[in-house]
Amino acid sequence: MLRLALRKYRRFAALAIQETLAYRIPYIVNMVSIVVTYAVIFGIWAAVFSGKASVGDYAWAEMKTYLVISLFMSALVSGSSEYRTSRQIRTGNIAIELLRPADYQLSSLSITLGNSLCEGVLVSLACLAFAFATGPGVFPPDAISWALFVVSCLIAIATKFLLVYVFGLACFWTNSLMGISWLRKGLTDFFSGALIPLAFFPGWLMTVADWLPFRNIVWVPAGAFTGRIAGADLARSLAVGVAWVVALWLIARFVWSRAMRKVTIQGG
Amino acid sequence: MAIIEAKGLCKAYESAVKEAGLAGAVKHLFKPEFREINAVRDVNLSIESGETVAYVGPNGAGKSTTIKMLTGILMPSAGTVSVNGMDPYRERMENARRIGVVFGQRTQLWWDIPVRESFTLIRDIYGISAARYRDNLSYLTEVLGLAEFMDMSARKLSLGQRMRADLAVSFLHDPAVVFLDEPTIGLDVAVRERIRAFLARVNRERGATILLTSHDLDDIRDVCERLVIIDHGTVIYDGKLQTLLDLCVRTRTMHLRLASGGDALAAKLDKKANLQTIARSDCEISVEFDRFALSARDVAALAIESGDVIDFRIDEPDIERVIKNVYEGKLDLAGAGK
Amino acid sequence: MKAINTVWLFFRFLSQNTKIKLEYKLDSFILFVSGAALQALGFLFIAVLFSKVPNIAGWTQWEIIFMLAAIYISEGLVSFAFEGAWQMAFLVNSGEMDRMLLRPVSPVLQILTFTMGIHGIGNMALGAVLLSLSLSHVHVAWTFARILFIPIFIVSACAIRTAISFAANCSAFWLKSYYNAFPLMVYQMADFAKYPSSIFGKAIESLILFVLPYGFISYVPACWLFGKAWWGIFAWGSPLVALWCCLAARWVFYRGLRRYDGSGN
Repeated sequence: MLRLALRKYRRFAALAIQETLAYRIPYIVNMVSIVVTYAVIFGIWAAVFSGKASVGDYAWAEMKTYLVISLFMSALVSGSSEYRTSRQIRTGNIAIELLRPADYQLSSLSITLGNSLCEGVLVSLACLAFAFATGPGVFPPDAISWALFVVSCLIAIATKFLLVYVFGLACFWTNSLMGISWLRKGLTDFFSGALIPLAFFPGWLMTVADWLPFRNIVWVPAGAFTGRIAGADLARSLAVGVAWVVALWLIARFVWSRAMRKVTIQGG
Repeated sequence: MAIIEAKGLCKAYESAVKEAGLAGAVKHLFKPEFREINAVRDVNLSIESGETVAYVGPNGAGKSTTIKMLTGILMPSAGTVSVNGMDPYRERMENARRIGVVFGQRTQLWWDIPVRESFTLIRDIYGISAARYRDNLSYLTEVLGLAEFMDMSARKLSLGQRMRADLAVSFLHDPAVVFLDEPTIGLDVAVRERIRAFLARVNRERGATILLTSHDLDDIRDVCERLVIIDHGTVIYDGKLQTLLDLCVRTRTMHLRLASGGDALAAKLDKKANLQTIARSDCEISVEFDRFALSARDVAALAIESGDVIDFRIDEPDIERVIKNVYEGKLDLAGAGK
Repeated sequence: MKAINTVWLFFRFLSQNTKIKLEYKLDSFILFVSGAALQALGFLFIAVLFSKVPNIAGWTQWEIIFMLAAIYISEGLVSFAFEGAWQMAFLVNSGEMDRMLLRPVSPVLQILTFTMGIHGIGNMALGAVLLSLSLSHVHVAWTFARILFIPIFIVSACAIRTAISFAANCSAFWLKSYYNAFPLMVYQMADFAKYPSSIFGKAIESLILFVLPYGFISYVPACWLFGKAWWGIFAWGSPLVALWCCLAARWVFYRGLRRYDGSGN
């Protein structure tokens, strides 16, 4: 039973990769757009750090590494799953999709992971290029730290997917997904620490950020990588991260069930 | 001068050639290959004002492509087109003022507003004078029965209502030529008849030239005098519909359901001239008859008096089958005029 | 005559769309809120950044907020009046474009007015608030010319933004996919114009001045108003840049249209 299910979802993932490659130009363009965003952020921070040894308690080496990790995490898990859902609703194909014998949430995840695999390879290369171009950074000291970093990455991917998915479900209630997706992106970029390390936030804002799931997407993995978050702190952060993943999964299921109750097919 | 004149019309596409599966997709990423498809090959068409023409062919024959070139959406790869005396592609907007187009699959209406408001928007877009708008609207409302749903928004209409509204929209500005692409697809019999009656009427009373594509033979028969068949991008027949039917559809098939005694009845019927049993079993027989020699009533009467007939039905000639037969060379069109 | 008719039809479509959008109260509300939140986050980003840093490359917080506000105002207008441009991928791939081509109205107008975003008004309003705030916090030697300049550059800014957005969305004619990231990428480039592009290097600076003239929306006007560079005076060229952008966008559209082959077999 499980093997059949796995095979089914693996096929979805393979189809997703094929789909991505079929539209080769938009795919490459999407990657470039993310790199552009980071060119902006990098430029700003380079200007901020110019002529200064450190800002806050960040040295330039650590900041650079932080930004590269931020780029890496932001590039994984594209937002295409929400466009797919929205388009399906708009054209009425959602009915066909829902009739398929596969759990929609799970199949969505499979397709997303499929896309991520594709993008992840290219993004890693881009990040390595970035890293080499900008000089030395800060690296995890030992194997355990690397392992914990990888764990934090997995949590980040799951969190990001679930956030994209949950926000994407809003398309069952509203026709304009653009706004929702930009809001999600804006909140994610800001509160994940992708644009500014959370350490720079004024006290009250940092508290707000601590209580949101976004920090697990960039702040925690970056901290695990550079060692800024270590030991008991890191363990706690990872645990909270896992808790958020579970919570978001449940929220997603709940919203989904409400959405199913609401589903109306557009167009005759 | 013909209102629609196409000479040597051609349209070729490039289509990506890709092997199946993941490997194929990757290969296409690095070394894309294309193949040329000739959707329309050397089509000549000359339609006079006021004519009603059916433009038919199997799926993928090039019908939609031709229509798109005639309406100015597509630029021909070769050849010339003239509609209303203009090149529809180069003078698209000016031409648009004088034509109407009905797509069976897509609507001209604005989705979220009442039909009535869609009409006023059309009025403003086409610059129809208030008086003419009033007249046309009341005419169309009466003939198509629009009053029942004028104030509903398009998304709430049934397919039949939507099609009627689309037809009204297309004729609102008194176009000289109207193109209809599968207007009756998915509609029930009553609505189809209504639409056919409307098209025949508006052609008669308003003189609109009509070019219609459809898979339904009744659509063609009731509305159009002339038939153009296209297959694999070329015109294989262009002449009166009746001529083609007379030429190609000599026989009709009647299926009889019996209480019993199929073989006996079949043997009896076979003895008659212009009649042939093509299938038989104890309770059912199928009979093919020359429709110029015998009427359906004759055959039915004959069967009833000779056997124990419970029920019967008659196959309607299907334009698809006619075309298939034409294309497969089973029917000789040498006798048909152009 | 035709131009007046086109303008009149524009307002006709806009009001029709507004009526429709007003019925979708939830949608409009969500867009309003998310638009406002995004702008607030943008402002917050700069505020947090400047809490640790007094200036960036010689620019102070409010000078940069001025640039941000200009971008927001132009963005707001595109969302409000010309949102249809973003639907081009859908229009082209679903064949809806056929409908537009078969009407005796400029397809450009039809596309731009295909839909509208109520929240655009909110964006413009917030942008205007930020703009006034920034101008009140920065020391500007106000002259008649400078006062006159404000509405001129704002109108040009909106035109430039619309033209670039429209032209970028025309990529739908070349990239046959419902999910078209290209116009989003071009839209994102405007981020470079939110900050003094001197910090990004000559290459980027040339990009946003000569290739995608976002610079004339925010950077060049700021340079002139705040006396940052001698060539700031070119800010008065914004209307010309806007005109050029509109013509270029129109050209791109008609080239793309040639490739359009309708939908279906």
